[in-house]
Amino acid sequence: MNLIEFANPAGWWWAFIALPIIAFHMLRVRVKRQPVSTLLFWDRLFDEKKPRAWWQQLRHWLSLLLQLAFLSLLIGALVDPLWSWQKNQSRKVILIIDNSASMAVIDTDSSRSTGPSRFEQAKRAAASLVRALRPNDELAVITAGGRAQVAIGLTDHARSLLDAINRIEKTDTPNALTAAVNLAKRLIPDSSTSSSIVLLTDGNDPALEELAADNSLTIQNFGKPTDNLAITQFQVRRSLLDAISYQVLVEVSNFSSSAIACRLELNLEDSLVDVIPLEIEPGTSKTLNLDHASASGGQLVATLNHNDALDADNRALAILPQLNRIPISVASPGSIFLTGVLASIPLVEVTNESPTPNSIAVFHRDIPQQLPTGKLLIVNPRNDCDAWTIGQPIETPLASVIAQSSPITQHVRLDNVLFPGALELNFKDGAETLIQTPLEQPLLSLIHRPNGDVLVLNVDLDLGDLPLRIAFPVLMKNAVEWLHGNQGVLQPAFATGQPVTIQLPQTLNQPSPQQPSQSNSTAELEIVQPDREQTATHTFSLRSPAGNETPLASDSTTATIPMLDHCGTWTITTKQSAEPMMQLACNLCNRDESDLRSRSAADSKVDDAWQNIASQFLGGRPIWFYLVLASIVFTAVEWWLYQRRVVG
Amino acid sequence: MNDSTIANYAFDIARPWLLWTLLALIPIAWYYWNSLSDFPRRQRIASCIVRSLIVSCLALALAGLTLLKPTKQTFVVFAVDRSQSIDAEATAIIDNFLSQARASLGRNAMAVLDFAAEPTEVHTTPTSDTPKNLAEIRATNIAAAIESAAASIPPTHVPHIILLSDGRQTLGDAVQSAAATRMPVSTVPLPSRDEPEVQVAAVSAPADVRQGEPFYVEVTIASNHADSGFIDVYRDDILAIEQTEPIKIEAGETKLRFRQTVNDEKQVDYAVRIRDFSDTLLDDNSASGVVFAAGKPTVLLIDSQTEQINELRWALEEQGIIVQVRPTDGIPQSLSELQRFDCVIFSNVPATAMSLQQMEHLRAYVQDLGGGLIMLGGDQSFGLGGYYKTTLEEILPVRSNFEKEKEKPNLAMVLVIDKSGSMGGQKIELAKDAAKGAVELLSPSDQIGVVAVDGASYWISELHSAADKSYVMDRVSTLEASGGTNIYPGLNDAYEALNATDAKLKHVIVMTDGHSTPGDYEGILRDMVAARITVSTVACGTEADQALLQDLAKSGGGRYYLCEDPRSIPQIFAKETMTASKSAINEEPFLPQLIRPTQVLNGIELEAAPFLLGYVVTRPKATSEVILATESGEPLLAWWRYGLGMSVAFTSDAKSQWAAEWLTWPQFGAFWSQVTRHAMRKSESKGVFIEIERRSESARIVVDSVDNDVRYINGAETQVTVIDPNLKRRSLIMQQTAPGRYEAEIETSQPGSYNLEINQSKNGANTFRQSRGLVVGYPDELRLGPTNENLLRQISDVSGGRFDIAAQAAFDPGPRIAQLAVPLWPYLLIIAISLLVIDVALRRIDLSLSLRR
Repeated sequence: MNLIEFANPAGWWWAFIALPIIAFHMLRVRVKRQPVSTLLFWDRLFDEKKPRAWWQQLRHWLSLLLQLAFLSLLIGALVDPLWSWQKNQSRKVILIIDNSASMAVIDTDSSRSTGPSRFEQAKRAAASLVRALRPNDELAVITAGGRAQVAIGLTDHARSLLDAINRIEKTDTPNALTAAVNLAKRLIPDSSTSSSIVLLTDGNDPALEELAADNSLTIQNFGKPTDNLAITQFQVRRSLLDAISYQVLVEVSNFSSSAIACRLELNLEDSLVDVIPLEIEPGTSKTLNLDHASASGGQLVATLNHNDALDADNRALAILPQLNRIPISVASPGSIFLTGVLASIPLVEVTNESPTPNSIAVFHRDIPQQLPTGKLLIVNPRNDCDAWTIGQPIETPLASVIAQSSPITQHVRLDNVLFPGALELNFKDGAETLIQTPLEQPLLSLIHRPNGDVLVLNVDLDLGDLPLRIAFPVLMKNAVEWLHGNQGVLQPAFATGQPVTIQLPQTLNQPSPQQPSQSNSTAELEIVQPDREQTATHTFSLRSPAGNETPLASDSTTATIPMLDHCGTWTITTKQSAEPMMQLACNLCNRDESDLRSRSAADSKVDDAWQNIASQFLGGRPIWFYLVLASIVFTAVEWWLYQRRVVG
Repeated sequence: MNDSTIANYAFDIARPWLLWTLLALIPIAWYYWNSLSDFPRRQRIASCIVRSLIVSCLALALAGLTLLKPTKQTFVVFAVDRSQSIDAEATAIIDNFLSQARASLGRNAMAVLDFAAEPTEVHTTPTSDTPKNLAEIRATNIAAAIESAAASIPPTHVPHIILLSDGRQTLGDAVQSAAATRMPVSTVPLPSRDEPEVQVAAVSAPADVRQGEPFYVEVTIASNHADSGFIDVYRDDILAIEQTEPIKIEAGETKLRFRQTVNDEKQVDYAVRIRDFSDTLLDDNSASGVVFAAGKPTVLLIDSQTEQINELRWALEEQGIIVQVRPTDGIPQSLSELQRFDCVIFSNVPATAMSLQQMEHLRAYVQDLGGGLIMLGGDQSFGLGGYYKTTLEEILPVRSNFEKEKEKPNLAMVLVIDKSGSMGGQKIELAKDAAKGAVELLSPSDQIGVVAVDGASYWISELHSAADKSYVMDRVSTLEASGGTNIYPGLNDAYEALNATDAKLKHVIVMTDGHSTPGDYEGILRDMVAARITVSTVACGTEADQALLQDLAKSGGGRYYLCEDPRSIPQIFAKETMTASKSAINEEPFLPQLIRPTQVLNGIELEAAPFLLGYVVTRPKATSEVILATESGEPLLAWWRYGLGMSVAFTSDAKSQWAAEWLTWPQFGAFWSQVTRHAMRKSESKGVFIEIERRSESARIVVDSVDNDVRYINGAETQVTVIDPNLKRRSLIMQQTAPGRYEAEIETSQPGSYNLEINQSKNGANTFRQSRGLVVGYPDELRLGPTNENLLRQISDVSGGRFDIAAQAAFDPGPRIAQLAVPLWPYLLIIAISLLVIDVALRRIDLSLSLRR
């Protein structure tokens, strides 16, 4: 095996350039005729100079020698010699840059108030590493914000690497150092010893301790332990209690060594909802459950008015779901009391149109023989139907036993109130009695049906004072809300960096919920016909808080969102309409990321390792580089020698 | 080629800081001014310029001048799916695609990356043989493959990833990865396996139903061909639906459903099995689903004689508890079967009726899943049932060993143990343990001897007082297996030894695993019976001479055991010892004594309780609560909390044997229902909604909880205990994620059934407790269904690639260009060399002179 090899042996042909150079030196063209008046002095001079004639001779040859030496340096460089060990040794370095939320922190100290953020520092360190790259060395860059992502694959091209590092943007995501290290390990083969992984982070990850134990990893820490106050959880959810109230869950954590007093502001669509003064002990968090009510929905924003190192976690958003109106169709001539009370319930829309599957049908006095499907509210039944038969009028229709646990009778005080005009009802399939007389005759009953429940209020509203009591609107409101069904709608706010799969709203594809029918009593396998309509793929796009649109992958019912990497409101739009179809709130809400108190104990050791790896990069350039460097010096010296006539 | 116009060319200096070498120009300029050269000025200027150019060229070479040349040269990484779902036909398509692509390579570059659960290294050399270094092929992670492929493409080429896969990913999210790469990912759909295959893809049932409410269970059958066959639906292991005609299915997915209602049950398992389809793999022909029904509590009552326990059953049913009565064969074989019940009652069930595995299930059921266990007395319960040192005894609040009272008749027992060669290894060790256990159970006034038989018989330990337990145990330890089998001499020795003692009770236990050489068994047994010696026999394995042993036990007035699992030998010995010593039963009528008043027995007038006619003697454990005791102070009713659950011991019984008087007591039903309700799992389902969402390797549990006033329960401690198919238990704290909502994610990488117990408490009070089950079937990789073209289409759509790309188009760069970096230093050196010639010429030739000439 040769000790030295040439990458470009064709360069040797240029050695022939030496021939014209030697030829020029052979030419004695330098003797120049100059007419002079006398040779007197010249002769003298000539005699004096005689001893130097051999030197005169030599000066020409020395010049030639220098030029040939210069030429050989250049040709030596051109053929690109390589030490054989150099040829085989190409190092692979995977650079992991943490671009998580906490990297935005600007570490200040007493000497300066502002400076580069941790992220800027990390990028600078990365760039300096790239500049110190040896030829044949390859480097790849992985970002570790939210998920491991390849910024640039293995390459030796410094400019592309620098561009890629420059392109890396800060995100609001928690870091994913372990995932990034795993990805890095996949990129470098186990066998090669000359590979290394360099991790540039602020050490804000509990997993770092474990990673630091890994010898194949060099970790450079940026940033100092810093105090921080953060909203670590924020969600809003429609309450089950009634239609318009909602509950907010907010957790504020104090990641510092001193107690912090501050205020938390809640705004719904830019109007102030609540201001909560907070006093949080160091190292603890405070969870608040706040009840508020709003018939409209929108964006709910929580803001901490406290200045700290990290801004991303001082503000959190959630989407309060819009409420749908509750359609109530009064199917038979209503009572003025009844329609009045129903119309006063928030969100209720009283119509005379025929009931839709979503609406509540109200029957007053006239009851159809065959009760229709759907949710029914029946007041003062006077005739038989398929669910009950009517008996005699109840003599003393006094409300005595009221079901305590039912949400329908919640807050309803009707003890010893008369229900005049009540008739005895005999339910064919049984019913849950919510209010009954001392003789256990039902006054308010609930019939459970798979295709919609029926609530029967057994009273003549035109008689007696029931409609005038405060309990009546409460009862009706409870009844409507129970029949309509509060689902406690939750449109969860997502955390950054998480994979998000969302259910698409059903307006685009209405899967028909198939209720088992009562009539088919035998258990048999039946084939479900697939709905071809549903398999069509719609085109959605996702708009980031900054306004960038990206296409969104989806199937008929769910959409998969590439990681949400910034806090704020993300919007899903369809090609078909400009209106945003869905809004997603996205917050940092990550305790580990907000906790800026450093956890890495091995900082100094880590820094030493960093110095090592940085120094390994310097030097080790190819031979041609040194030859060219030498030739520059050489040519300058030769120029001096020539101009000062040391050589001819 | 519009894109490669001059505008797209660019220069780049990789090491700009090396441009300081241009400082060499300063001395050049300086010595030009201070030159001693006598050339004409113009020639000197020219010479200086040429020399400066040489220096500049060299400096630029050092600084790394690079030409960025726009290029359409493409670097294609072929990410090839090598997972199990790729069969030979698909592999042929892959090879064909790759060789076609390679043919149109041109000046472009390519690499191949194989992947399954993880991608391998990228290799550029054309190897067609399948990679050997894929560790795990039972999973597909397309996302990781795309990431690795993206990282291996150098930026000097137009990137292109071509994914050859059937799109059936089991790990990761390929669409997200594809969107994040910023490189076009084109896809080539591979056909799914084409050997005839039919599988049950899913059995989906609503997680929660109300009792009596009809619901549909949906079955998805996936097939790669049209076929017909039978689909059997089992409901709790009972065939519920079968067809008379085969069902026809199309290629692709066929969805079927059937209507069900749950009455009087807590949990119903639906298992779907298919048969008579033309099929290749068998693993995937069944799948199960679990339905939970909220409703009345359910109790499993096990009795060796089921007809005797009807009174208890009726009493409990009258009190609104659903009772399922089973014989001992019906002891649940799996944890999920146990999970259907809130409480298990053993009435006179011996330990020998269940395997060690079943006992472990019971422990997990009580300890980790909060189930209730009640053991009733009887002649086969507690110590008499052989529970000494068993898992179940650990669970119970009482111990079965006890200090025997002095006046009890003393026992002389001889163990005749077959030590033949076939007993070697585990069997002989267990026999030794069993013998030692028997020694432990004996009281000091008893005597024990151990005879070992092979061809002949030896006294391992002569008949010796059980007061010196360590002596006997040391002797037993010397037992080693060798030789043949002849139990007759052993019996004879036992007879002679026992006959010589004056013990009141005399008993022999014979254990063997083989056929004995013939002997006068009838004769010796006659003698033994005459000497009031009883004989029990244990057949260790089915190989043993069962007929002989049965005969021996029958004529010897003892019991015969067939012991298929040698690990139950110690239980049998313990049971035999306790039974033989007759000490554990006290059959004197007594009135229960209330020791510790409790809320549980509110409203029960125990003073009015009638006599009980007997009980099993036990000792209470230190932390148990003894509620009722016998007149002599031994526990009658005791309980304690064991893990999350509760175990109860009632040492008398609930049938006509000892509780004949109690059966007519008006509060018999109330007493038992109150005790049972106390023991059973407290599951309050009101206001709790549990959703279990299965992902490929994990399941997400979402709990929504509200209190009685339908307010969200916030800040409650919510915990889920998971018991995996290996009965390993883990507890996770569920994190609150929204008002009233708690979430946790559990890993479900192993197939089998997972039992979950979700438990929430706030301010020390339990708000709810619920159990759930989850069945994880065969790995997703085996889920063969059709090629997931939709996923592949989405991958290419979000990344700007092409779906179903042709091999010839693989290297079509599209509108993209990459910048190829051409280092210019060799060219700069060539320029410098050329300039050197001029430089020399300018010194050697006086141009003015030559011009003048």
